[in-house]
Amino acid sequence: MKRSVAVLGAVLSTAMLAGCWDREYLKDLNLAYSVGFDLTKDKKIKETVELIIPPESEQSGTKNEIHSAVGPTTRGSSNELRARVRGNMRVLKNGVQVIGKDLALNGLKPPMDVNFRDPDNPSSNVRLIITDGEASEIIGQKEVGELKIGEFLVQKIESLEKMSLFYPPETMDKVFKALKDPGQDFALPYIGLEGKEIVAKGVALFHDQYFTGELNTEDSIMLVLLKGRSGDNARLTKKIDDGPLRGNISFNVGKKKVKRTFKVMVGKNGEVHVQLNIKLKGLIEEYTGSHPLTEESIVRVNQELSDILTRQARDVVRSLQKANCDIFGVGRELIAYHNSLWKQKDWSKEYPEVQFHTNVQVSIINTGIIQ
Amino acid sequence: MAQTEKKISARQLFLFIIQAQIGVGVLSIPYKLNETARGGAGITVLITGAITQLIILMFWLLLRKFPGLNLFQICLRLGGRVFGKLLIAGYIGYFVLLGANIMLSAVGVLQRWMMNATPTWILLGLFSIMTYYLAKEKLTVMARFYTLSSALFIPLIIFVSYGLTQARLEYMFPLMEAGIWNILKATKDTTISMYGFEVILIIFPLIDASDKKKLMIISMSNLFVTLFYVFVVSTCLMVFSSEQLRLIPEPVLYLVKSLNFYIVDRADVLFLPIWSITLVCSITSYAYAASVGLAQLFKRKSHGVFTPYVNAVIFFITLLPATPLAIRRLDVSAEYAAYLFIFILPFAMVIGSKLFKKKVERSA
Amino acid sequence: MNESSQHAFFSLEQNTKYIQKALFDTHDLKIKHHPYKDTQGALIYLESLVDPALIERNILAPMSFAEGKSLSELFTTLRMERSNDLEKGIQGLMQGSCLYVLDGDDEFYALTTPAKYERSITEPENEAIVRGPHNGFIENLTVNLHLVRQHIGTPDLTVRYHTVGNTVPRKVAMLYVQNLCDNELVQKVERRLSEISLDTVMSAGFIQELMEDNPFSIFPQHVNTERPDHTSAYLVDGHIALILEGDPTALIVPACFFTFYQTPDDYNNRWMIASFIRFIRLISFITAFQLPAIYIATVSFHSNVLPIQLFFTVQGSLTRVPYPPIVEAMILELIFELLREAGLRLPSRVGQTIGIVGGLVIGDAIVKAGLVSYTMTIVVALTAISSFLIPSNEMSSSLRILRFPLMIAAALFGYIGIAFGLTLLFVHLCKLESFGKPYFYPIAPLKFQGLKDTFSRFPVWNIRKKAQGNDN
Repeated sequence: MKRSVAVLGAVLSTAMLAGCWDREYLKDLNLAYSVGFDLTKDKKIKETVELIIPPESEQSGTKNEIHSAVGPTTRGSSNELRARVRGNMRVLKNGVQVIGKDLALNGLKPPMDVNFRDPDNPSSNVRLIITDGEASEIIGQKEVGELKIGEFLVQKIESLEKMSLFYPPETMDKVFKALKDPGQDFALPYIGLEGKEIVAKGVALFHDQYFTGELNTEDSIMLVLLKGRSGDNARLTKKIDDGPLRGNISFNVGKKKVKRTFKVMVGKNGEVHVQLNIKLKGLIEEYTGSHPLTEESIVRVNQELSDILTRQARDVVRSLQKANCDIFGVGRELIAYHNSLWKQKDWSKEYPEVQFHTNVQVSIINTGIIQ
Repeated sequence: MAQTEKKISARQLFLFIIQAQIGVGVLSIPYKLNETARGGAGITVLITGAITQLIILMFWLLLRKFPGLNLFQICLRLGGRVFGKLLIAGYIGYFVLLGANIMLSAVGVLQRWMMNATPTWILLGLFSIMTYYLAKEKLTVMARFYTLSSALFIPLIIFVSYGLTQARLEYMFPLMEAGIWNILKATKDTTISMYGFEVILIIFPLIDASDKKKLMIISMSNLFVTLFYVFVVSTCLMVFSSEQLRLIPEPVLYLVKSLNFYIVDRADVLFLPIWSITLVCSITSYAYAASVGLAQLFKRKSHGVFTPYVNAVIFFITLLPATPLAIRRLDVSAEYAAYLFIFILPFAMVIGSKLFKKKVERSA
Repeated sequence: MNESSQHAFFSLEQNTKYIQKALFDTHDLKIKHHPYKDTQGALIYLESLVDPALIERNILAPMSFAEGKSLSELFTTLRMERSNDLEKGIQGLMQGSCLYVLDGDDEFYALTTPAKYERSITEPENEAIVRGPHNGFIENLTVNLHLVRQHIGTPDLTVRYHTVGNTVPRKVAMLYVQNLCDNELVQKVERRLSEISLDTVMSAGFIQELMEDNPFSIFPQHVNTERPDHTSAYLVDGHIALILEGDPTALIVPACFFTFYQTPDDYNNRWMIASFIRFIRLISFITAFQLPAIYIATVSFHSNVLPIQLFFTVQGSLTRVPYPPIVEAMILELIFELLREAGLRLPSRVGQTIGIVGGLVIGDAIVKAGLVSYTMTIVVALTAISSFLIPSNEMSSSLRILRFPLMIAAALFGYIGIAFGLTLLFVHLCKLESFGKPYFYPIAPLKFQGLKDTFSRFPVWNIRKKAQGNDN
């Protein structure tokens, strides 16, 4: 008993004398809350960070500082930044990473590698955003109204998610998963700077790791619906012209669940057919026409809206195929269920040839408190 | 050789074996199996479970023939003075080697994920102290502690279940992608993760139950562990695609890292310390077994005297490998040692005991 | 025990001289000459120990009206012994008897006439409860036994007297209920009692230390109580109680970890409320000694666990503190311990002031000065409050001490350090046994029946009698 105590004491005292290795005091950390990456002309990475400065006293809020540096890779430029910034910059609590268009066109995998490799970098909460132009300009805004730029971006994205512009949220984890999956591609929120304001422009479509196309905001909502999901709200405004029913209708299909059928079938010659049907239930929020929306009118409205939306869906699918973005995971279905066929295909070439049979069916269930 | 220790109950045995079996291997099994068995990894684990069940049956047959005796005493009886002692020494070496192997892997994982600046020997020392403190106690105390730490399974299972929310069934298909032959071949990688049940060779006489009941309980433990492993492996296969898995050596931890609760952001930092206690239990079983062996060799009643030496030796063995290559070599040697001591020797002993013809009575 | 004996002399003179010498001529030894039927006789007593009214009534008065009756018939004291061993007589003097020695007789009478100055039976201060009896033990052993017997009126309640202390012997009473108590346990306790070899046993604490299974363990292995109703509850549960003459504390053995978390007055409340309270007490077990360690580990090593808003709040409160969190924690803990000890010694009026001074002034000022952060103060305060939740004083002191090594382990190795410390702690708890009963029963070994009464309090009609056999 005594001996073991002595041994324990010796070990502990040596440990304490030597100091502790993994210790990283909270108060010494400088967090980079939002980070922006751009590709410079000589193929280097320019990193812009928003550092959160801890408050002076308990009551006041935090402030932020913007810094920029250039390096050969992500970590390389972070190291450059560390040389300029006060204290040890850490990316422990990253909220959002903004990627400039050029970098996205060049391929996402190299810059994002450090996020997946270092255990300290969070990946489950971090949103990725593509911006039209330079990310440093976005981050460089520093503040929008009362909010710091990082907080602003996160809140903006979250509210856009609720409006079904992008759903489910595209986090770093999901991107990693899709980057490594030959049968799945992803799309990221696409923002841009218009004057002084940061606006959402829609989604950026990716094939493998490259930025290949984009969809505007209306189409983004349609894409989300085609995925079979929706945020809290999914508002669309369409013009109908069917006899006495003439006007613009704004309706919300996000309140009810989207019923989706998605079937991948393989034809005799190895062609791939995809059956994609969605059934939407909508609530009318606005109607500018004069004819009241009675029961019979609703039937005609449903028909009209279904046609309009089906056409829009088919357009969206066509843009997807043009951008070679297999966002529905058709490839993954093939790998799972038609593996031998998958092995024969070169999916990058074959995906645009896939025949999609898309159909949207709208049924209005509620016209508000008046007809 | 009267046993001076009290016996453990059936329920304690159940949890004891489970704790001894679940070790560090489960964190990296999906990765290893992905290489060979791909989607069929779940089937591999089931087959491995069946194999271990057969080995357990073999052990049971051997132990049943010599009631009241543990492995070392059987060695003496079957091998005579000299050869029996050699066998015992061999088994002691095996237990020490396996204990060192587990400790090294455990500390390796910890270092990579949480404490990358702390020198390895400090972490190894901490583990050694913990296992020493536990292994020197008598079996009933160890069983109590194992029972207590079985409560830690609940957060473990909860964490992994949460990962199911990100699961996509198609990632696992097609099941037979790798072909049946590969699936069978992959059992080689899994068996070492399911070791731990060989401790029944040592504690069999100390259990308060009938022979048949003992077999049933041990089989149930094995079943639980197998199903748990299948659950973990399948969840990982469904969350990560095969290409992604190729890059992640510890998919379970990666899965836990991506979980987001409201009050904690990085669940893997919480998961790992909880996990290390289960690992301590596994290492302790081996240290205990080795100490009992030494007590047998030197004809002492209590094994507590030898535990410090056993732990010191384990500690020094783990200090030796410095490069990943050396670690790999230690792994491989543990694997081959296991084949010898778990398959071959007991099989020989069962054959040998059959030649004895008469059932040996319970003697002093 | 004194083995010496001294045969009485025939001469009164010699007897009295011997006794006086043996007591070193102490001035409170009184020798009153009182003849009996023409024979010289003396009444010897220690006036500090005897009750004069008893002497008057039971000895002197009857003797004045002696009419041919023998002395044995005259004395009407409760106990009367004839002895010829002067040493025994001196022991009797020490216990408040008086000796009547006749000239020419080598046997004398020892008559019990002890004085009793007792405290009235009041509720013990440290163990006040809301609902239930409000009486408590006092210093007199007989009164204490009376209180217990009042609670348990069954003839199964057995009392065994033992004596401890070589130079100054004291009486110890061992109580147990025959059919509810394990025979082996009784024998074990008796054996350990008889093995105590000390010169004096000043208080029950001495007995406690000498009878423990593991005196090196931080955890107490006896329960102390000053309440007869608690003692009775434990007795009926199969425990053994030891009461020392002159000490109002009863020692209850065997004691397990969860015994310290239960108070018998849980049964005075309804079962749902009692279960809830017990549950809260067990949560306090976690916070009472792990909270500072977890906080230190999180803030020093693993800040990435905190969600982002919390992160900034904590960072804000920590920026101004010039030294590491472990030092902060130690400073605050030390201040708390100082305050607590000071509060014990002060009379109650001044004690209130200290509370205000300690809390407001020191606590607030120290944060404003930037020496300590707000979050740390909150953590330490919560910990202190949790440690008061534990009904037993001994256990809460143990846990308080345990806080410090765990904090150091956390400061050295983060969460792994905490896992390390907790593993060692729980192995120790599993190892500990109180008189053969595993300390951590019913968690380890796991007995579901026992659990009904541990974490919650199932209704009284649901708890069956605990199994008495040997557990693993």
